[in-house]
Amino acid sequence: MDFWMGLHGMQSTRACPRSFTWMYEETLKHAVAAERLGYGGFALTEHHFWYDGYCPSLMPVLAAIARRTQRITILPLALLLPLRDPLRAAEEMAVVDQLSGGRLALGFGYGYRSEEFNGFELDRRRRGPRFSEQIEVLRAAFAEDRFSHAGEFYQYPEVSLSPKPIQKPHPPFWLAGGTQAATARRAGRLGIGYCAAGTGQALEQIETLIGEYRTAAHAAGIPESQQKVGIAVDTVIGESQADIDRVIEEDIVPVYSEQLVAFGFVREPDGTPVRELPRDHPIFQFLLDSFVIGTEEQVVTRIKQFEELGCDVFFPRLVEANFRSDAILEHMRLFAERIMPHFQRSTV
Amino acid sequence: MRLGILLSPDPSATSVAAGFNDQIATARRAEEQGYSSVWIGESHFGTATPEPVPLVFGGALAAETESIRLGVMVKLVLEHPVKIAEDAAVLDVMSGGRLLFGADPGASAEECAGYGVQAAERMPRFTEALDIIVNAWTSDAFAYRGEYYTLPRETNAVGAGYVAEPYAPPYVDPWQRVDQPFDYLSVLPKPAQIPRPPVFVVTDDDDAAELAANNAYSPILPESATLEQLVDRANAFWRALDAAGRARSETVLSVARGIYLHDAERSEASVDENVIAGTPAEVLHHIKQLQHDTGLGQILCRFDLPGVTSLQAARSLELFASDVRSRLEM
Repeated sequence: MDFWMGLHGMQSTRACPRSFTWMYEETLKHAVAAERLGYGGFALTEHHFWYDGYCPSLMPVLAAIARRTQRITILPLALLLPLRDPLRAAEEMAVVDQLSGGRLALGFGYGYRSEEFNGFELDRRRRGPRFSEQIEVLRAAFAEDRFSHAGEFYQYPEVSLSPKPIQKPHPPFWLAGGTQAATARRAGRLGIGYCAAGTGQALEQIETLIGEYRTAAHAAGIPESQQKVGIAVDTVIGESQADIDRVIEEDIVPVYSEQLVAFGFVREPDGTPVRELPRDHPIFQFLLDSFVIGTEEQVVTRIKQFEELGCDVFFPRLVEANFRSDAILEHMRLFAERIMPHFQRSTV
Repeated sequence: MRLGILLSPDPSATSVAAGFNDQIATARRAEEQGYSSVWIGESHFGTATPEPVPLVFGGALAAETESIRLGVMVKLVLEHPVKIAEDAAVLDVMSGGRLLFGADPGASAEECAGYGVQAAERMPRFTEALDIIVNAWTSDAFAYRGEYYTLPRETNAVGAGYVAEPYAPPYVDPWQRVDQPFDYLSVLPKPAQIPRPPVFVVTDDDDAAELAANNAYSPILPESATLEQLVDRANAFWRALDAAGRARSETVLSVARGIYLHDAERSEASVDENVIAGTPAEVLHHIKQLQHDTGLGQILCRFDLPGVTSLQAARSLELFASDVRSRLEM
């Protein structure tokens, strides 16, 4: 199993407003630290039109990280591909792969907020089929000297993608899914990696999703060696229960209160959105139960469970929107020094 | 007069990555030598020196330099304007406010075909796109209804064209707007520069000159323009600027030019006729004359030119630094 650190979104929240320029610079420093600490990868996350300035443009940032690091895999988790023209996206991927000496991986996501689709004048419906066609376009653009495409969503006359990526045939693809089995199956059918969301899901659900992925991949004739599974989970490691409680109360509860309300994830029984979340709301316990959280021994035990499910990459989500930069670095160090040595490392 | 450097990868580079490294190295040198800006443009599909996504490449330049300004000329009609606004804002943020945004209305026939743009709609589409990009940077929230773009899709915002979101009560904080109709768009983060990065327009015809003048954007006269065209374009721009009632100090007219200097009496390279070439004294005279004729305030210089070896280009740059620069940058 490998460990890829996540997930910076460069947000300036109500609970913790900050300068964007400073945050982007800190993100570059964290990428450099991740490489030094022995993480195999470093991942960023994307949203659009979000009140806290959530980073909408990951590729320029990955280009910057590419130039400050030497060995680490860099990736978006997730790049919301259905919002993009796939040929434009392919050009960006090729350029960042070139700038990084072939270290780019690509975690894709569908995107789910209607606002994001509307902002780009797109229809949110049928984003699944749209995504499959985009993968087809990417593969053709990367593999063929000149290619053309006449599909349902995209049409290109014969053109030549230039430059091509360093990695052949192209940087590895992943599909990051939320909770939907259909997404896991699509990743399996397409023969690309699948990254499950651990936050907010019980282990049994995750096991089911991974099973769906593998079944679909087998049915599509995808060899096991080409099947890749990742899991991204909010991760907190503390020296003591008191440490952990402090992180929960001071860092995690405020950011989740704010973001859960803003995303509209929590509803009253009659369907109206909740606008204030009291600390004793059951959502918090539900979330915390899904986290990888605790002392060294507890965290190792939890991650071993994912290893037993056959996960190739564990993404410790060590960053939430309002986390202090020095606290993130400290968590990165603790995780690298205390947790990672318990696992047989393998590159993906 | 300000001096910027146009980056171009060495066509003889052994690989794409080597060409990119070469451009980044040139940018770092330009910073050390005190040039005010480096510039990159956009080109797609199988060119020898591909630069399809200059705002992404700009991220690499931002990471590798500290103080030099980053000029990025983007072909607006080949990408969604909201995406361009986002990428440019992120680059401005990441570079600590060093972006100079060049809006390029150009696109080759192959580029237009590749991205499904009709040649006839290129200029009106460009006009809307630039309008949207500037609104995205400077408005808290807006809706836009043009001929080519409707933002957000299916907006119910009332009014024509550009509509800023009204802040009348009942006002709801953006973070609590769950289930509110999404009739307006808030593009975030905003650029680091306030109110926005300087906007330059690549001005290859009278339409572009007029658009630049009406909005007090700074024109960039491209390398492809002949000397006569430069003077005509410049005069057309200044006339249009006066007609629009804008002050000349609001803009800076830039000329992009190949420059080749050689030691006295010895021209070893044969260069395109649009290149400013000669001995240091000749080049200085030429630029001074051009400044007089066009009112230019900035030259974007390209020293790596077809027909000029890298050794000759290095000598050319050396001569420019020792004999020309100090007499221009005052």
